[in-house]
Amino acid sequence: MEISFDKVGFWYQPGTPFAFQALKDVSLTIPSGQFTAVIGHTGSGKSTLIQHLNALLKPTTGRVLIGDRTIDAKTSNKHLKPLRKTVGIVFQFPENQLFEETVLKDIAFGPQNFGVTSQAATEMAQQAAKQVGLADELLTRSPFELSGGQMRRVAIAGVLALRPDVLVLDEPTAGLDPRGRRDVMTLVTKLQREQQMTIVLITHQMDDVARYAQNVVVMAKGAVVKQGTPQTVFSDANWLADHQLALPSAAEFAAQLSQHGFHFDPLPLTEEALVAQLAPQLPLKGGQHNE
Amino acid sequence: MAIISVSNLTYQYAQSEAPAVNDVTFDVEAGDWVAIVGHNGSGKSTLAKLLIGILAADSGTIDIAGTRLTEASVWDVRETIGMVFQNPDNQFVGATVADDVAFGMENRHVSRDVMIRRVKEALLQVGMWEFRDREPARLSGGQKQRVALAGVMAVAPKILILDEATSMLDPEGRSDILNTIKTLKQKLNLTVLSITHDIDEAAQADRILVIDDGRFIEEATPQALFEHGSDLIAMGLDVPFSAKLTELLAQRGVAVPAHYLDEGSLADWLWKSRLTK
Amino acid sequence: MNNFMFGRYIPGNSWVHRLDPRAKLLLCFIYIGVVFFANNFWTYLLLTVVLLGSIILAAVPARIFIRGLRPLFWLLLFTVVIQIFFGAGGHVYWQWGVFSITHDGLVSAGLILMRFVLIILISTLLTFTTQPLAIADGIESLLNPLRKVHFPVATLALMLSLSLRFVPTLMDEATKIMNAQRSRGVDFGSGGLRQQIKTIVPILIPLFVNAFQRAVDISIAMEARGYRDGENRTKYRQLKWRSADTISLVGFVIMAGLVIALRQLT
Ligand SMILES: Nc1ncnc2c1ncn2[C@@H]1O[C@H](COP(=O)(O)OP(=O)(O)OP(=O)(O)O)[C@@H](O)[C@H]1O
Ligand SMILES: Nc1ncnc2c1ncn2[C@@H]1O[C@H](COP(=O)(O)OP(=O)(O)OP(=O)(O)O)[C@@H](O)[C@H]1O
Ligand SMILES: [Mg+2]
Ligand SMILES: [Mg+2]
Repeated sequence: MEISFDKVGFWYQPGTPFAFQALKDVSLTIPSGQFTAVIGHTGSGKSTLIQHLNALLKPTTGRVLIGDRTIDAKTSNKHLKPLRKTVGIVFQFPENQLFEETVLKDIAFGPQNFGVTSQAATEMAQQAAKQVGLADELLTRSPFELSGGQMRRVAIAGVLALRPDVLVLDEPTAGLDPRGRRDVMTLVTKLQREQQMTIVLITHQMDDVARYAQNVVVMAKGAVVKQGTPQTVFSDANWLADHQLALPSAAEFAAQLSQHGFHFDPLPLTEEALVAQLAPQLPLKGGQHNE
Repeated sequence: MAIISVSNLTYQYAQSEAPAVNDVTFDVEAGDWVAIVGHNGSGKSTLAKLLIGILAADSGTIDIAGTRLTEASVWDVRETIGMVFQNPDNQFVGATVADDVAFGMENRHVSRDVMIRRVKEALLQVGMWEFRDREPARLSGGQKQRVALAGVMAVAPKILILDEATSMLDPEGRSDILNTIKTLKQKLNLTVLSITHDIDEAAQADRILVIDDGRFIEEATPQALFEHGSDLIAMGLDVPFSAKLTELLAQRGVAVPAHYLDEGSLADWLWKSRLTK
Repeated sequence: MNNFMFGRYIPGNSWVHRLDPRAKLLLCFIYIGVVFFANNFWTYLLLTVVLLGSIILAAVPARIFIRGLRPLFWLLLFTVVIQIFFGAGGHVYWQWGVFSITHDGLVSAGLILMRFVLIILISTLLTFTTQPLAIADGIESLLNPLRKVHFPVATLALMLSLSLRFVPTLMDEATKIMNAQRSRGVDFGSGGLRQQIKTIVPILIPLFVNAFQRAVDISIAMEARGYRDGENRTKYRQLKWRSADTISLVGFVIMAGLVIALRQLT
């Protein structure tokens, strides 16, 4: 399902001395079935942006088109529930939302709110637990007895159990150790590749953006300042530095090597792409030569 | 003489079946930077809490700057150690930046004139002086962690313990804090003990201790430890970028050196071998 | 929740903002005390003029004060209606069973409304112009004499300032948890009472669990930084009593005297 923003402006606490414009004239499209990454400096409005994707926040000006629904300032708070089922959001540190006695019950909580019978909800929960790789013996435990990485997976499963068309994740790897980070990213890409789920990922990890995203949205001070493929977004190192954004490690390293006579075209964004261009420029083992 | 000296330290939480810290022995020399790594739940935070006497060991001893840690000496020992924790919000106890920095000094009966001077010095050191009147709600995570550092530095400890102090920050905030710590360490000749999952932070250390299920299983320089390549994941660390690259090059038949190279040396090596082609 | 203005601090540097919190607390107490002595037009006029003067000196826009009153509108209306219908005496304008509208009823409803509004506005003025922390400091300082009877003033003050410090953090957390549960299909504010109570559980449990974990973390951090309960601590933050504070206090005492004198006019 496609989601698009049409000149969206959003104010927090309008009409008070604390009024703050967090989104400014945002127009963008999130293509169906693709992996979109949202990047930007702290406080640039990324989290505010994604809360518009299932109408948790409504634009102060402009409108958001979610499939065939239009959301603007006047949209009533009623009948938004179906949206919550089509667009699932995993918030930052989602383990903070767990509350049920057992892991399975917690995962089944979402489906039950949408009127599914408790038996069907349990089945949906079991399936979601399998998708995120939670072992069966954990399902009867209390969610509060699990490790940080396991709790994170339970929370993601709780959203997956709704079987959304669009899955939105706000920094899902923050605070996890490297193994936990790798597991979460593998899971997310699998959902997109195998189930054609539309993925929206907020992240600060440029290496992940380079490796997984097909579409990148760059935010700065509440506005979208660039949108395109990773290749176009990462092509201009000076522009990125101006917006306090880093290059992926591979691109950074390639840029460094370019100053010593190596040539790269296009700029490699992943280790694999870098090595593919680098190897032919180097001598091979046992004195063989590349042509 | 070692500034931290731990021998045969063991601690078990009341409800659990196995010790969280199991017969651990190590020394840290004054002025050293030692990193402690290990996967989630391996006992790193428990060890840190034992070192500042928040938990009392079941057996074994801890000597800090020549003082044996006991119930009676714990407050003196805490004068020597400053600790920065993981969650930026949960260690910010003052209502404003300046108040928070003063908190530790208030506890130590420092007079107000001295406090005013040291709050300023400490905030200047971490680059937060302009923010002195801000409330925590209006600071980013990285800024809060810098305030936490200032609060610790204001009481002039000899040892700084960091328990995943950068893990909740974005990459920029992370490198920012790390640079601040490096500068402070050099200027004040601090001893740093950093518990971390971050490869860049671990690379700063003179030595890395690897802990697994409460036991030390390895001690090495970063250089030597990073030789482990993909096994580092099991130790709670990531594989360094240069190691990943070296491995991929080897798969393509490039005659890369067998030992670990950091990014700078790998770039040098690539550059030189290109010339021999 | 975000549009709630009652009890919030609005940063500024006006004459009122700069007053010592102890002075402001005392002024507020005096004013509220005097409101209960007011009994005729002239006394209320004087109190209103003093209030408006203070609001002008605080340089906070009037519409924000009105927003501050808004959440209390129903409470005000309820009190006024009760007074109108049940206040008895004087000329009877209308009667139906136990309900009646009388002259005295209308007058007393008007007075109650006036008192309410004055008290709310002066307290709002205090919170608009004084940081919560400064109020805590002011209270601590005013309670200081109680130390003589071994009342734990310092501990109490630290607890108060810590709770104030974490109010925004917890509010933020509550909003986040509500959003997360909304995304999982919880409908707040719809359905019957039973349904409503059911929707509170997924908010309260995580909020409680997190707050508890937070409390453990905070106490560990405080202990690591050398905090020992019951030990004397020095204080970084100090209140400064200036001549403006004395002047305003004298002004308010004069106002109190005038109100008591003006009472005689009826
Ligand atoms: N409830 C709120 N009331 C007022 N301002 C807010 C509120 N929530 C966020 N803001 C402000 O809006 C801006 C954008 O915030 P947002 O959380 O969307 O940023 P972000 O890009 O997600 O940042 P981060 O990378 O730190 O998560 C920030 O300046 C923030 O201070
Ligand atoms: N308060 C507690 N009560 C009981 N068991 C605990 C408590 N705190 C920690 N543990 C257990 O002790 C072990 C070591 O925990 P510790 O927090 O020291 O790990 P860690 O290495 O710091 O992990 P992480 O990388 O996740 O921070 C774990 O198995 C943990 O579940
Ligand atoms: Mg965010
Ligand atoms: Mg830990």
